Amino acid sequence: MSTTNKPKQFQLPRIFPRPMGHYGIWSWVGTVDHKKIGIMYGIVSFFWFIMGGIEALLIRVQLSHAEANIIDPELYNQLFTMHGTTMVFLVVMPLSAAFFNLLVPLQIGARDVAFPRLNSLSLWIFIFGSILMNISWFTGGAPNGGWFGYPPNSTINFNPGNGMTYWVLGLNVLGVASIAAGLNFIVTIINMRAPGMSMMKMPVFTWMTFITSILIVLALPILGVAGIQMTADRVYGTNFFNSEAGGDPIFWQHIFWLFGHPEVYILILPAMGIVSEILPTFARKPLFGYSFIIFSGAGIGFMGWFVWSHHMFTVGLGPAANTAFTISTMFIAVPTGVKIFNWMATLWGGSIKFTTAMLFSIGFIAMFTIGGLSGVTHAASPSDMQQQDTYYVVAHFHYVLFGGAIFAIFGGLFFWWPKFFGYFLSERLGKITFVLMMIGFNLQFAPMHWLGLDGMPRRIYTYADDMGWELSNLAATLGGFIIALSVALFMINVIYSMRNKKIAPGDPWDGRTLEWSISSPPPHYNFAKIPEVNHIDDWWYKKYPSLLEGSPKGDLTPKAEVEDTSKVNEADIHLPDLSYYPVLIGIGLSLAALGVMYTYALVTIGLILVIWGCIGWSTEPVNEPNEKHH
Amino acid sequence: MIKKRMKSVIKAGIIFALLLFAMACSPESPQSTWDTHGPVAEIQKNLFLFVFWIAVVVFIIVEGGIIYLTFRYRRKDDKLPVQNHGNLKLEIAWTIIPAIIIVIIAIPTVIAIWDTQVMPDEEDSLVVEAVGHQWWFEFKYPTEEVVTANELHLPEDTDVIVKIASQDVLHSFWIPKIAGKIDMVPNHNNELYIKADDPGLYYGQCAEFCGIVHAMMRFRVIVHTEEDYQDWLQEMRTPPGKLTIGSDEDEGRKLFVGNCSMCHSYDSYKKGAYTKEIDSQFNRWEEWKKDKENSAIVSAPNLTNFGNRITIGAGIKENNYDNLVKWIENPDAIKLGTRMKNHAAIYKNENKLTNEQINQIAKYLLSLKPSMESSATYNK
Repeated sequence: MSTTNKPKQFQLPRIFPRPMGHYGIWSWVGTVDHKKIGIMYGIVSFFWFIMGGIEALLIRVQLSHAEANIIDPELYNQLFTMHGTTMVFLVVMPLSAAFFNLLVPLQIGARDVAFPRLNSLSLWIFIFGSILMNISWFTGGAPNGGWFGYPPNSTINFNPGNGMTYWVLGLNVLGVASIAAGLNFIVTIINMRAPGMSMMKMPVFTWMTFITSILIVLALPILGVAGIQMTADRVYGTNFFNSEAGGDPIFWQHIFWLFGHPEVYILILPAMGIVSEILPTFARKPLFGYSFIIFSGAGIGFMGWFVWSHHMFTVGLGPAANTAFTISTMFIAVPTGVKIFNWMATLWGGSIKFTTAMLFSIGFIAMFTIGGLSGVTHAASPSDMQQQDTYYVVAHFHYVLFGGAIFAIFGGLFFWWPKFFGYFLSERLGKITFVLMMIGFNLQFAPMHWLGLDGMPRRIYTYADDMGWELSNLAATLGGFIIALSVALFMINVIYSMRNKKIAPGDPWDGRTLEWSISSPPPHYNFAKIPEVNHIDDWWYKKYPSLLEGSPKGDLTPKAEVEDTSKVNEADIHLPDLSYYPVLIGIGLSLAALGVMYTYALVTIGLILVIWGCIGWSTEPVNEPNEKHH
Repeated sequence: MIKKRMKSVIKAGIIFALLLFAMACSPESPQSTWDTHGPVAEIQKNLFLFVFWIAVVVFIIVEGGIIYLTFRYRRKDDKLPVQNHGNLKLEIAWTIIPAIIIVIIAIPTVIAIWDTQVMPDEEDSLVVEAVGHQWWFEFKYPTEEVVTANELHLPEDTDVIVKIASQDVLHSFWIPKIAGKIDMVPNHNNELYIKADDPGLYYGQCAEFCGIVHAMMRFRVIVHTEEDYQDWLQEMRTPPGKLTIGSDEDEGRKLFVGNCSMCHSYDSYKKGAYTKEIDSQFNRWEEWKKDKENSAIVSAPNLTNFGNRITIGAGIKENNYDNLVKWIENPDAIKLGTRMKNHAAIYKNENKLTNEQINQIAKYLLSLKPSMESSATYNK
């Protein structure tokens, strides 16, 4: 034991023993292992995906026919507010975070992220923050001012009750989780790459994670500021947005969308990363124009900062501002188009295998294109004057975020499932899931284009029967239930595949990147020996070095094999021990936020937990000295 | 075998697409943006169609390309395909070509922005003020000194500047067949240029989420020939006919004046009533702001010439006796959340109106139609 010579370090006395080991419930609660954290991110956000989906179905039921009285308007407003908020902040963002966690260290040949405990903190703040926001259903009404929370309708004057306070505090808490995770992945990607892996040899998914993380770190603080202002307005009577006291409601719109538009790319870039990994694998040829894909992703991330007012064409900013934002918005179509053509060129000349993951990825390109094209139509501000706040816009962003992000995420689930759980999901059920989802999705959202052009505004809980909107709405509702069926089938698939395990090898798809060079599921230390990287798709060329010459000729039997873990001496591998302090901080932060609405006692308890957690964390050694690590 | 399967897949796809298109865009919808009746909506539609057809070409290239590539390059054997990392020329081409297409789209777009979003001279135009309230529209004609609610009357072929404001939260002013929308923002006055080509009845609706019954904040636009429009203005300055003493209508009038007129003005045909109505509407609002729970007063639609209105409840129900009785009896049954139900004394237990009284008020309201006879006496 080498610690004997060091001066004794102060350590906060423990109330609970430090969790140890790799098995059992406490190994999950206290884990700092990026894979376990990723899986928990996935499970929790999938749960919210179901909740957000149920909210959507209830909305669809109420809109299925004219003058329906199934759901009252107040509940309806809560449902669409929470559907949007849930799907953006509790589903697509954390599901992307699940993939960041699971994949980034494996793709760059690292044993974990740069700050494993910070990673655990992000997870627990996210979990308790999402619970905090949804407690509102049981305390007198969920948020009802829309996921965009426009004042004055969201101010205390017009929206008494705690719903919107839960919303804004919830967003602030969740923002902390996102910013921490963003920083963590930036540092991880910059510093922890395996030797030889220069930035331009990184897998595309890692690149998109990198760009997304930068966007998160820059965009979420803007929402944080807006959120604190709104909290102050609602709880402490300030007048940032209170129009009755001269506050400016448009001020909120600017800061919200200055966050909100980069947020759109935060949601879609990870999906683009996922697809960019799946397509080359099943086309068995390299991604076409790797650097163009990377730079167009960076271009989208950068240009995303100059377009926020296209959400505000009808606010009355005047023709000059509308012209500027029209043009900047339209030009985002260029890097997006580059990606689509590069993906198509990846398929071109390939040898395409239609696995479920591949189907979802091709579906992604097809559906995302539709969303992109409808986006150009309302980037044109005069055209948008008709489409703004109608179902046309609802159709547009569901083609981008469902046909885009969710399709890619499902593709990613089928693709990497065998890697992380060691068995395949059923391909047969998977393909049925894809077909059902494709049909349901288009049946639900295609008619919304015409609904919008026929003048149906968003966020209305009912409509008159002489408007000619009934057939399309009925179709959309039907489509919604078909989507629900496909998601149910996916869950059946998970249970079925768990029971009838079809064991997956380490490299089941003849993969290209480093995560496929280790066994499935990966050992907790990932790589017994940190790999050395020489090329993009390094694992692929380790297997088929002759391909470096160009066309496939000669001997194409794999020259490299998945890392054999049986001879690894785990005692030689140093990984941080578990910690429960992130959980304490996560609980504390949400309790304090809850207390802002109810009682300072709760704020005090929350802050004590946070401070206790922080001190405990900072004085806790990375490894328990009395454990046998050395 | 595979080809057969492919064919059936394509067939099913086409049938599915046709089914979807069967539902597509009906210009019959009263809010259809296809059936335009004004230059602004026309420009907006034409711009949309211009972008749309370019998008259709791109759509066919991309989606057709995807279908072609996936069938053409499906895996047939275990051979590795040619390993191709990219092609700089091609990639530069598909960066520049979209950029050129965007420029082609941007030029008419910018022209359309300046064509539709710059206001004409106020002196040559009709100026109308539209104010959004939770959940109804107030319309004022400052030069003509006329005020009304939920039904906007316009002359055809006239440049109109709508000055747009909101009293409470965000709303949006939108008449799909005549022009795109502009938001109604408190503390921030907007202007919208519109022009209606043809006389007729048009639908309008609030398009910005504004609280519990956002869905039921609608309005109607009646476009007249110039002559009819002048007649309408004249009617708005004309008092209703005299009521027979002791008739239901007259009893209704007494009840209305006693119970409803604090919030609903009904006699803005009088000279000087316009400024008075603006003041009272302001005062009602200020009063309500002081105590939003218990205020006995809140700003409310002007009911002058109510008998000529087409709808009640801000474009929700046809204006007829049965609907009006139902509305007065319990507005919540038609439109949940109306302020009237929350604030008017007649909905508190001790002050409840009898059914007969409600019938009388309804009859009185329907009798509020300009009468040329009384106009003659009134103007003397």
